[in-house]
Amino acid sequence: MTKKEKKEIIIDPTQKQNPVIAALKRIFMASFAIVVFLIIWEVAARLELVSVPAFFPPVTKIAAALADEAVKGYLWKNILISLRRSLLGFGLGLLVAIPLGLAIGWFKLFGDLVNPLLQVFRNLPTLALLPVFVMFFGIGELSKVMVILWGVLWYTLLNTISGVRSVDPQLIKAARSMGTGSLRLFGTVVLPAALPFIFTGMRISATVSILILIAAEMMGANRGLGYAMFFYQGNFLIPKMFGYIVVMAIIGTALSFVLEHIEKRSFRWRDETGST
Amino acid sequence: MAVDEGKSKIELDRLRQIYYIRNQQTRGLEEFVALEEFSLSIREGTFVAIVGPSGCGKSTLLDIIAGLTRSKGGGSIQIDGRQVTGPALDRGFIMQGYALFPWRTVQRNIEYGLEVKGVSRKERGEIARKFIKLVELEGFEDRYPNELSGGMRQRVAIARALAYDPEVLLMDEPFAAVDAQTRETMQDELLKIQSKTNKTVIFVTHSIEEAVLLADRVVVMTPRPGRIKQIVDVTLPRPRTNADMRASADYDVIVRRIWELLHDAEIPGAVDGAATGGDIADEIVPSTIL
Ligand SMILES: Nc1ncnc2c1ncn2[C@@H]1O[C@H](COP(=O)(O)OP(=O)(O)O)[C@@H](O)[C@H]1O
Ligand SMILES: [Mg+2]
Repeated sequence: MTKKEKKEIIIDPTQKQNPVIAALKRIFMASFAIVVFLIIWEVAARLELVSVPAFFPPVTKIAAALADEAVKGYLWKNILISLRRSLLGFGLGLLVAIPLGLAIGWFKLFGDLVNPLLQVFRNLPTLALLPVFVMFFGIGELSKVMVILWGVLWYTLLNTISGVRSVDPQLIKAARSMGTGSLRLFGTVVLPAALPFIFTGMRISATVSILILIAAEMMGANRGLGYAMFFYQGNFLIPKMFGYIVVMAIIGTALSFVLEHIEKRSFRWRDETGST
Repeated sequence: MAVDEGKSKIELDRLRQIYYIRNQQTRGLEEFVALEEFSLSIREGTFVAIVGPSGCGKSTLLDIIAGLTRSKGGGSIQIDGRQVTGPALDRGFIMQGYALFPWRTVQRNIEYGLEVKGVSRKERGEIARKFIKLVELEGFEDRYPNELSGGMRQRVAIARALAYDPEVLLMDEPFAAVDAQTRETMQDELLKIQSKTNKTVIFVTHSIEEAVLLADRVVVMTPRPGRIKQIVDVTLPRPRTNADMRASADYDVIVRRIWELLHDAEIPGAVDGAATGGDIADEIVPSTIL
């Protein structure tokens, strides 16, 4: 079937494609490498080509383990609690990062004063900070949310700063020539110009909020995706461990896919068609 | 003729602008005089063009008149007898790079100054549509600047400045970035708009032909520091168009005269006492010889 499609394209590249076929093709393109990878995995695991086969279950076994978790209801509970943590950490992170980033970007003196500290902080690995978070916030929900907040903060913050700093000075000049005051200048020029940058930062932050779950849930959790992964690893239920890794990967990918889509749609004015 | 009638609109009195430049060898700050002794009296409704080699302070002058830069070397600007202390809606500034807000549609770009002015949404829409019609951009109201050609963007920039009805238009090489044919169309349109609205215009350009075509008076500047070398009155009858000028002998004479004025600057002290000279030969590229 794919062969036939290819032929059609070669014969008449301008011909409008059937939307169903086009969609199928897109799905095929998107999943090809993944499917091949899974098949190789499956075959390699079945043939026990690795040194410790117990640590390397076939894909079908992982799927079965995951289905078991789903049927028992653990999977959904873990997803829910983890998403709640991520969302909370992400949301609070934005509440800190965006205003702070706007202030640092806009008030040059403030930015210059704060920047050295930011550079030090953002280069601290989140994992190294876990004990500190436990000390400050205990091992409850709060410290998990704070870890996510910390991990998420930087991407939005740094993007917001560079967004504000990269506002075209000509646009500021144009607005000021019309008698625009500082507040209006900020609202009608600086903010809209920085918005695409802020959104890119938010998108990366959102993905990171899922990735960082593992670190957050290393601290005395008893539920959540990261926790479940560690739990099953500790109990040598390797297919389930892999199952949870897969779930996290799926959630992360879906999230960044959706956000990338929104981003593309939201900034039509940014599409370069020979503009300045 | 607009030259002889009307009251004084703009009084520029001994404007002087100094920039401090870091000397690469001594690491010290050095004074650099970008504008010197610039005095000019402009009557209401007059179209003044400013020509001079690049770097002679033309943009600096417009920035000062717009109120975006304070002249550090003294001097004063008065509009209608009032001292200019900052930017305001009595002046419309059209910059060389259009400087349209890329996140605003054509319509919303044109409405910007009206928003600052506090005009109601409904009235803003009406006024914007009027100016969209004036610059012949009907049908493009909802386009973003990146979806327009260079000439169309330039027209949006003009409409944006006209929309809030400033009495003075400041234009900094507005047509430098559009192709030759579009430029002629834009020039003719600007002539029409100016005769309709009777705005006072200060128009900076590199092109002598453009200056003579558009202006009642052409201010020729000297390089480093930028001073007024001479003011040439253009007594060609209005209305003018590109087509008329091509056929006009008087036009050629005036163009030639300004060209010579600009070229005298090459030879220090020659012909005109005000010329300060300098190595600007490679910077003057009058389009007459192109
Ligand atoms: N902000 C600034 N700092 C230092 N020098 C400047 C600055 N702006 C302009 N100049 C200098 O002043 C001179 C006049 O500049 P400008 O007004 O832009 O000239 P023009 O518009 O006639 O080409 C130039 O030599 C330029 O290098
Ligand atoms: Mg200039």
